[in-house]
Amino acid sequence: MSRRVRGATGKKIDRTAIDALLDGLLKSMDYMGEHKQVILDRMGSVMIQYLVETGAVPSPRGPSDFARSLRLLLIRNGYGSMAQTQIRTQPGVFSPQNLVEILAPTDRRLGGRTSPTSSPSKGRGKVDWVLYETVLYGMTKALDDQLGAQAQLILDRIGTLMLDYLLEVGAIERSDDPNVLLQNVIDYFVKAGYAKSFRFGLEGIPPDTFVSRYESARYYTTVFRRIQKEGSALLSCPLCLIGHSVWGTQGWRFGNIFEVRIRSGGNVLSKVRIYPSTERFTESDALRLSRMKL
Amino acid sequence: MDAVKYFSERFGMGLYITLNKPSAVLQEMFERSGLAHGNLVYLDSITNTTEHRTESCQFLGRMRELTDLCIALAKMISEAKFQFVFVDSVSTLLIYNDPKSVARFCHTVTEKLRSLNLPAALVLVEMEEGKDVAAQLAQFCDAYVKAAN
Repeated sequence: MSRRVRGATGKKIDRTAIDALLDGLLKSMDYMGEHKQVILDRMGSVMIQYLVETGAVPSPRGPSDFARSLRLLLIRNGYGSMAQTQIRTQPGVFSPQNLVEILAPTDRRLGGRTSPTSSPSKGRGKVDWVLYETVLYGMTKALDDQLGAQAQLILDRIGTLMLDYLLEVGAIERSDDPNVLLQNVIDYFVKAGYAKSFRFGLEGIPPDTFVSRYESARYYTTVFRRIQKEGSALLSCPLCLIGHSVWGTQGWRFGNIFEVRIRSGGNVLSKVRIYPSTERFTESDALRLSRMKL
Repeated sequence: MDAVKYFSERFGMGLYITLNKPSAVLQEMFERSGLAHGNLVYLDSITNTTEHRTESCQFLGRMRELTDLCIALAKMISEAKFQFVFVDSVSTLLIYNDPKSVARFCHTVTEKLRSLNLPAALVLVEMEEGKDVAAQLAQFCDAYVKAAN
């Protein structure tokens, strides 16, 4: 099985992609109580740190330059009104969680309504890739710091919620056929500017490995590489997370990436172990192990 | 962290099964919080490395099969005198295993530890995905403790 899509890639990505990501993130943590705020605060701090380290904004050591530069970045990307309000409320000081708040779709801010259909900030146009990358890195790092590898469960849920959002706003066409739906998802991400092309296939008899090939997939050269270097096992590639969700409806579970080759320019080959829905620790396994002498 | 400190202070040397954070990260965290070095030995199935053994850790490689985990645990318990076992965390197993298998695995492990009179703690983060498993685990554990954030 192999499908291939080609499209344009650049330094920008469709705004629906960042809206869907933040909508999914915030919804996925709605039930987490106080823990939600701890994660969002950490995410905000990491995002600021990432923007400074990548040179998108200067260091907060010079507060006025920092605030001005951050505001300009946000205004350039269509977050002007929120940026003005948030930064003005605390002159010279920027509260880290504000950045998540500023970038979130309007109806997800301050506990607003959850339907994306009425969102004034709903994604027309493009945003700088650096903002999308910052959200992806901040989210992954904060989840890893607070929860470790088990946060993959939250990331997978974010994938499902992102898909719901993108279907609801009409960015991805619905289909009852999972293969068609997956193709629609790939088409969307390629056109949105996430990667220049994406192909996938299965290996093994019976299939036990999911092989992905990307061209110009910036996520892998920046966020993924950095997260891996930091020892995290989390995978937050949005296309993968939605893919997990669609394949999940067919009973498949995704394990960790056991092989990945990332070339300059973002050409990526990754192999992920996949598991069918069958029981993987049977009664006979349990019996055998309980009889094991120590 | 407090739970590990409690177990360590009360029982002595423990086996920490880490599926969630690399043992190197945990070691550093525990040492910073004052947990005596050498009070924990790790069974690590999250660090991205090949299977090998060091003085304080048995590395299994990332996300191994439940049977591999069970065998490695049994082997370590038979080789050293541990006073408790800490499993961190059951939630991680739910990423790539069905809930029924995870519950059966936990049951097998706890029964084994019970037969050896080894106290143990199974950690599970309260998430939508683990609700059913949490309810099942509560049935064969002596206590279900809900920790505040």
